[in-house]
Amino acid sequence: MEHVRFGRTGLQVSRLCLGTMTFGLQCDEPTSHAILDAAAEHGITFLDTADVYPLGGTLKDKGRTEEIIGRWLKGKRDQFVLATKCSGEMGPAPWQRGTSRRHVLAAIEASLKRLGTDYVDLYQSHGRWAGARRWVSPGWSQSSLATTCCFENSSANCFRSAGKKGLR
Amino acid sequence: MIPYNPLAGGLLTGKHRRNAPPQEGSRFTIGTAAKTYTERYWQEREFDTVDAVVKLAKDHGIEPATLAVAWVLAQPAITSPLIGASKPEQLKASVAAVTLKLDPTLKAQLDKLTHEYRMGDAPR
Repeated sequence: MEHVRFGRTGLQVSRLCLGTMTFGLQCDEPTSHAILDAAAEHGITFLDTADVYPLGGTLKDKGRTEEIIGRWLKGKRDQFVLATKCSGEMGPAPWQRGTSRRHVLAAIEASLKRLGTDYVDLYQSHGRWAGARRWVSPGWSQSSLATTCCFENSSANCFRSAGKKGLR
Repeated sequence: MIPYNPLAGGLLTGKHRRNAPPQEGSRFTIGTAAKTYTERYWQEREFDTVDAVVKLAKDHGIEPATLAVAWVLAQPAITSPLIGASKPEQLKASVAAVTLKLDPTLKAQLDKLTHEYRMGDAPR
């Protein structure tokens, strides 16, 4: 599998990135793990997920995809480049979504726990079209850590340590 | 750029038919996402385009899904398209795109077919 440079960072990623939103609703855990096995056999080393997955679920389902990936990744985390996202609705409270500093920090901690790792290589804001606007808080400029982490390796390194240090 | 849905939720595999209900367990039937995906892709215009892409793929002896992913990969801004699956064997067609040499004439035909879906193309 060909690998390419990820944007302007020094990170190399496989030319295909495995999306995982089917894991946990469209397909069960054994099938999800079989898909991950097949992707790895094909040489795919770049995995993408999100806190709100599986696709099509309700609040009670959210996080299940990351848990399924976490159980599979155990013992082989260093062989993959792992991306996840936040900003989608994760709970009933109005602040359990969006990109406020409070939510981003809570969301990354919860994602790391579900994924069974202490870092993600890429952290993305999951906003989509006009829907994202609704979730962007007035404190956006002070809490843009996550979008910075999307694109800069050095900042992503901050996020590598977020789980350990708390980054508060 | 890491684009999602290079297969339009599975439509570009050619397995869905516009006059038949979507397969159970597909993105067009799955819980809270069914409506979003149906509105996004399950449309007459999209099916017309899919039919044209499937025909081109067949003419060249390529799986439609492989051709769709190969076209995305042929765009210079793309790092890695997101490919998804609900069965392990579905990955093969997408993976084949990485080594497919896309004929320039075929790429030009796909560029033309997809032009109406894009915003902000560079002048041609």
